Amino acid sequence: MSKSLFDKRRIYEALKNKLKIDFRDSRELVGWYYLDGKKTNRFTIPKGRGTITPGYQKAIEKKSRLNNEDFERLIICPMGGPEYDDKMRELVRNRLL
Amino acid sequence: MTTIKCNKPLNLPEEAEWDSYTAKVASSYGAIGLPVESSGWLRLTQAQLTPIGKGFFEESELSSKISDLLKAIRELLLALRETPTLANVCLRDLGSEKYRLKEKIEIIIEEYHEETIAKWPELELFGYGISPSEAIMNLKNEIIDLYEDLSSTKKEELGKLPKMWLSILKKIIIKK
Repeated sequence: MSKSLFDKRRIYEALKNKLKIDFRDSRELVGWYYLDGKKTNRFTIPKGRGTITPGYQKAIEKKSRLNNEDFERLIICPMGGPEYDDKMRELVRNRLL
Repeated sequence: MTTIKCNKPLNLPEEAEWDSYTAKVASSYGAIGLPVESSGWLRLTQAQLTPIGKGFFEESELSSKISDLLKAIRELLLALRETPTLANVCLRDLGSEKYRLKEKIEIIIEEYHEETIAKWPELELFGYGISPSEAIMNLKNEIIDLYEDLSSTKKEELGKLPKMWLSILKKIIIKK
């Protein structure tokens, strides 16, 4: 369960810049994370400013396939794109992705 | 004189059993031998009451215990706000003029304190809303969006899971 709730903009910036996700503007912001040239994880982020709601953040967290601690590391800073790619490759190796 | 009411348990209807129960209670508070009225009231003097409180916490310790308890209650309330109530619901229609469902889809409704999430876990899809109906409507839109997105993507560009999602969606969704 999430301990801290992030700003929607912060989640958007982290996913866009670190995971190179190209979000398209729909009812919400929708974008694909590509791993080795293939569509792998689909992210949906609410539009607008302000803090995200607990349920929504939990849903994004699950889509990222990271635990709470790693998700915070991804959004706050230390985890970069390459580290995330490695984690996803590990899941692919374990036939979980 | 202070009067303490011992709650008479429902599973001890007999007077004889009741006496033995209250005796046990009285015994646990160090008040053996005190007269227990048939109504279940214990009559204790202040001096007799003292042993009840004594040995639990000193006054200074008590305020710190209360502060710990309040902190724990705050944490529990926070956790409660983030813990949803769950319900299973079936989708029978996508609310679309272009598509219809071949068979119903089982989804999960997660109701949080101030929001609702409708989920189709197999496809990692979710819809958000203030009410369940709003969340379900958004989930339906997400299903259509994912279907159209995956259908228009070359197969070699799809990862293992998106390929599986498309296969599921193709079995369930029919163009009108």
